[in-house]
Amino acid sequence: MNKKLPLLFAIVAMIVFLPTDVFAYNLFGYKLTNGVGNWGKNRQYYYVHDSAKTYYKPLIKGAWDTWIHSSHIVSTPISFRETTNKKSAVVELASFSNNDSKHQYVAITSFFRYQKEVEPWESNWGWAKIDLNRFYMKNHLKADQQGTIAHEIGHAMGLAHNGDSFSIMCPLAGGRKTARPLRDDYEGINVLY
Amino acid sequence: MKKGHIFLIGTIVLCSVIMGLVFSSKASSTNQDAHAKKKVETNVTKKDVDEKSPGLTVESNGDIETIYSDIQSLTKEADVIFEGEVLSTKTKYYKDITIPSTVSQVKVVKATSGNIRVGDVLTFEEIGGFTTQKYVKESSGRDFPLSKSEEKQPVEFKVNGISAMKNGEKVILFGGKNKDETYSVIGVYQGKFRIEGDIIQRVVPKGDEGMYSSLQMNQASLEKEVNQFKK
Repeated sequence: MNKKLPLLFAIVAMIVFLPTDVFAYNLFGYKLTNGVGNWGKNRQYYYVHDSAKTYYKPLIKGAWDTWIHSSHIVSTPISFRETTNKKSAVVELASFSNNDSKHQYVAITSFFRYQKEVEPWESNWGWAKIDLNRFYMKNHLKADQQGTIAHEIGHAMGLAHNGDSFSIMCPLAGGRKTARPLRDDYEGINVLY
Repeated sequence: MKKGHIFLIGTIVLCSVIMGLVFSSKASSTNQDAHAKKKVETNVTKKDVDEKSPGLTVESNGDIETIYSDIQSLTKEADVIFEGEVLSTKTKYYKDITIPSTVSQVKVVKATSGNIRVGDVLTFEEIGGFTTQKYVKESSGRDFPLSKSEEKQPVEFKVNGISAMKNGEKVILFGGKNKDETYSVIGVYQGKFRIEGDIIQRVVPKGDEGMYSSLQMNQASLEKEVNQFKK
């Protein structure tokens, strides 16, 4: 019996301290009404306003690519392509610079539905619009600008902030250390869609 | 049954209980689908009953670059700190952004810091505020039918669940002066405190509860801290 004790304690310790898959993502609780496409079968569309095209077109494409091409980390259904027809888009991207105050948002994502008010904590949305603040964006490296765009795309699809600095949904103010979505971010999308 | 077997089974049961406790605590500290939804819905039912908000609200999610986590950091950044009353507000629109801004005239009731005196009226500009369904429709560029009465229906744009200032509201503001002589709230919304009796606190953005504090305190404590750190 006494000989078995250390072995049993070792098993207990192994089970208790075994690394476990616990995901760190937060959801608004609701999502894009018509989904994020279904990779290989059908897709959704995003529209880039002229105000964003001028400054951020390659970065926007890069940010979408980090969400779409994720199979080396986790597969998701996300399938998006740019469209020039705004009405067919479920995510719009624009940029603004409304005054020179340093106390402004870096970026804002708004949620809309036909003839309905939308709060992402209360109901699904038909489309989302991302507004990027040029005043702030210009102070960041290109990689971080792309990270901010990817963060806002995460909001548009239904992800809320979380405090994990290795998640794209960590707010910039929280010390985000990644410029692309990582495992937990994709897992959040897979729960939603 | 041998004693050894009983001990082994007991150990397995104990492990299961410990693992159950570990998993349940981790799951509640992170965020999980159905349970998270329920929690969110519960929070939402408490919203805005004390605010004069219209029936329709567009809720935006705004990201900031700097967190001002205490009175010291807010005070060091602010050009003015005062207790004020909002005399009037008007909505301002910018070409490139759907969300309107609100320009508020705020009368200084009690000056705590900065080159201001009681009775001065300062102009603050914030993102968010009131507009109409017609504006939302036109700015969205999406064709959805609205009757004449629906077009006039007021809509409030809030960012992170936080309203822009409203007429008659009493607030404590940490303001930063802009080049055009207007002021902005320090940290977009972080330097705006609501007054309830002697207690002041700032609104915590929805979803950021774990990362951001309301800094609730009484007015005397605030004044003491500001005097300690002001420019």
